[in-house]
Amino acid sequence: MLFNTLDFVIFLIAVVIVYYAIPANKYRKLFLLAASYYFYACWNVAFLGLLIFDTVVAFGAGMMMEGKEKSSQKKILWPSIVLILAPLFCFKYLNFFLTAIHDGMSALGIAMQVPEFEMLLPIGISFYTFMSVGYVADVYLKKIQPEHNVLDFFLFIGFFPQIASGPIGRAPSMLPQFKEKHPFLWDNLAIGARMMLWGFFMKLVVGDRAGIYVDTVFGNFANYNGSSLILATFMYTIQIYCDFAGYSLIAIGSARIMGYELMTNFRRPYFATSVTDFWRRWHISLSTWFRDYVYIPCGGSRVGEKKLYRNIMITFLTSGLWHGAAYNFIVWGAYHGIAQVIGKMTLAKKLAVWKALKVNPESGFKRFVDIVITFVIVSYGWMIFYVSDFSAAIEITKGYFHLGVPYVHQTTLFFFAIGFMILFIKDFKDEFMPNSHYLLESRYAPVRFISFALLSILIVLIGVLGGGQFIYFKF
Amino acid sequence: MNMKLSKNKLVGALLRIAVVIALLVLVDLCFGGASAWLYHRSKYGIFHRQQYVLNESKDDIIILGSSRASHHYVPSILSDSLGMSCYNAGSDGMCVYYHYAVLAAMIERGHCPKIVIYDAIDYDVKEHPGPTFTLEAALDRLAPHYGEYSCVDSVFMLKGWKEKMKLLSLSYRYNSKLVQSIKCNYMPQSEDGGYEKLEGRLQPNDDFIDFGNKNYTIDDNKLEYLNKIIKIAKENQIWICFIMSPQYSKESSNAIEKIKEIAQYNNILCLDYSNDDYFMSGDFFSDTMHLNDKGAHAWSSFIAYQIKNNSGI
Repeated sequence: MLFNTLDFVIFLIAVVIVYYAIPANKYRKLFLLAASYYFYACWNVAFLGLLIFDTVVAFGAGMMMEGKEKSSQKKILWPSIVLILAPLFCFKYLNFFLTAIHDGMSALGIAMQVPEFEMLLPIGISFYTFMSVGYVADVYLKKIQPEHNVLDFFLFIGFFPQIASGPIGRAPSMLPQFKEKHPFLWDNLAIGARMMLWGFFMKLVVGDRAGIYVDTVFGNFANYNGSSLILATFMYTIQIYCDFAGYSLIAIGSARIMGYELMTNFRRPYFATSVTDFWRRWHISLSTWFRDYVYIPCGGSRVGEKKLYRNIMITFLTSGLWHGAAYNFIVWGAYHGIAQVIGKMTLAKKLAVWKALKVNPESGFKRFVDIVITFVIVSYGWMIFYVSDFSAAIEITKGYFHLGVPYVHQTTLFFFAIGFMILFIKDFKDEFMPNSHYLLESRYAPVRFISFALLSILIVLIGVLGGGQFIYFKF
Repeated sequence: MNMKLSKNKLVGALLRIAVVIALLVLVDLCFGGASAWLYHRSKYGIFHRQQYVLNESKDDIIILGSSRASHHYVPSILSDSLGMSCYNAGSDGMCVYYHYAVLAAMIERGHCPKIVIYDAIDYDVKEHPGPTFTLEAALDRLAPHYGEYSCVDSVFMLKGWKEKMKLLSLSYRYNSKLVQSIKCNYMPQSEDGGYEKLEGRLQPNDDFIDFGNKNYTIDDNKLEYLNKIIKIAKENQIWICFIMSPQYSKESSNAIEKIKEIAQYNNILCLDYSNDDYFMSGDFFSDTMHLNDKGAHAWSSFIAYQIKNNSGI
């Protein structure tokens, strides 16, 4: 059941009505867990077993660590993490590692056969696995007491708005929310519905429309000139943002309607002034997960320069691998790691250049230049992310230099342009005028209501309503 | 007291929801109405042709099919050769569902053409992975006509009650049609009874079509609708034939055999010229799947002669 389908809207309305109709919180949660598992089972009922397995292991590990010495806890921590990661490894990485071993051996001239397993990737496995690992690590690091309530814990891992593609919820902020009963509040309904509507707009009007052009051009890149390839790269940069941020907003909005607050996952990432800044704004729940459980345990930034660069590279190579079991994702992760290392290495020199040019480092002009440069760096990275093999990335890079008149598909570009302009104005306003509130956020209810109706009908009129897949479902 | 407070809150919330729903309906009617107005006054192009064939055509010969039909058959040639009026109702990216709706709507409004030339392609029986040649593509094209003909509505019902719910929105019926509607109103396009000519020719280095993997999956719904077309044609004494017009290939797609089987079973004329030697020249093709204007003229003359000999009309 995809978020961008009528099935989901009907499902959500039914769940919300029943949820608030149940007086006791315990039964509400029981109902919510049943609804969440039904939602997940709609994809593949067999994969529900994997979700429950990870949940049971994480819950058991937390309970077993309670009251134990650090050394004893460590003996529970690592085996439980290995157990939680096992399904993810088998379903997502096994084939890739076997192929990598085969490729490595072949490069050394050693012939060997490796088996290949045909396996479907369970929806959301990367997300709930990380939530489970995060919980176990938090208990070990004493950030949270082990959870005793089975229902609360199962709901924390399996909560339907975030099960398929995040945000990757964290136990310290999520678990306490399941303890309290949330009364029906108009504000929650209004804010949640507005978030969902904006998420639908991003996904259906901008993201999916851009995807039509992107798939046409990148799908047959040898036949398109540099201008078309540059336009497709730009549009994919917008598409992946709208697709994933849109999904996240629908998830956060759905939860908010029921009174739950999920983590903000995107904060206008394309207004970032450096690649480091970009990662503070993009997929925040994943970035902070890697920061807390990979980067900081490696030593973080409180180490020497070389170790700092090493830590950045480890974090981003792992992040690349998290996104997919393929070489291009690892290269993409390395690209972002290297971009950050170079950014840190050249920071002083860049400031010196600005000083020499007599430009105030705090000026709007410098910020604008930084935003543009960061956008170009990130966009090129997304091209690597899109293509399935590295040779295609090289061919597209060469293709950028054969400029000409870009391929124009009138309907696609016209509707994309409308959507993109609205998105840009909204993000620009949120970034530079955060205290101004217009249209959907207006203080006047009639303005909010009319804006809501107009945006809804705009989505119906110019959105891509075919129920397209979300890009991050692959991960 | 608390109970009363929460009851008041609930009533307040419900009232506000009702206001939002009322606004949604109003805005939908405004935007959907404007889109409908623009669509229904189309003077050129695809939307004009669709409205003509669904609501007005009284032509004796109707050509059904995908873009290969709309670019391959010149109605004036067929009309001159056979002495009957002819209209080309071929439409880009459409398959059997759309063709059924077009023919059934004509019959429902009381016009039975004498001859139906059905330019068949493999995607009239096999599954298509992309957005074209699917039920969804046909429904998207036919949405503005939902509610006009019961036979058209029956095609929508293949998608179930949820599609019916979506169609309650007037704007939904005109989803993504704004640009095309503007073009169909303000950008004149030349046409000859629905025929759209293509320019250009194949380059010497262009290869023949390679059908690659021979495996395919038959779409049972498509098969059912192909049989339905035959059935309504027979019931209304319409002479129907299946034709595979030329494509730049040395072989036919193997799903075509399924269409031939159906034609044979129903005792219908089926002519396969998909890789006829005479037409295998780059001069006749705009791309590997479509004839150019020169090719279309040659093909139309040729097929008019064949129909004259075979139809007995």
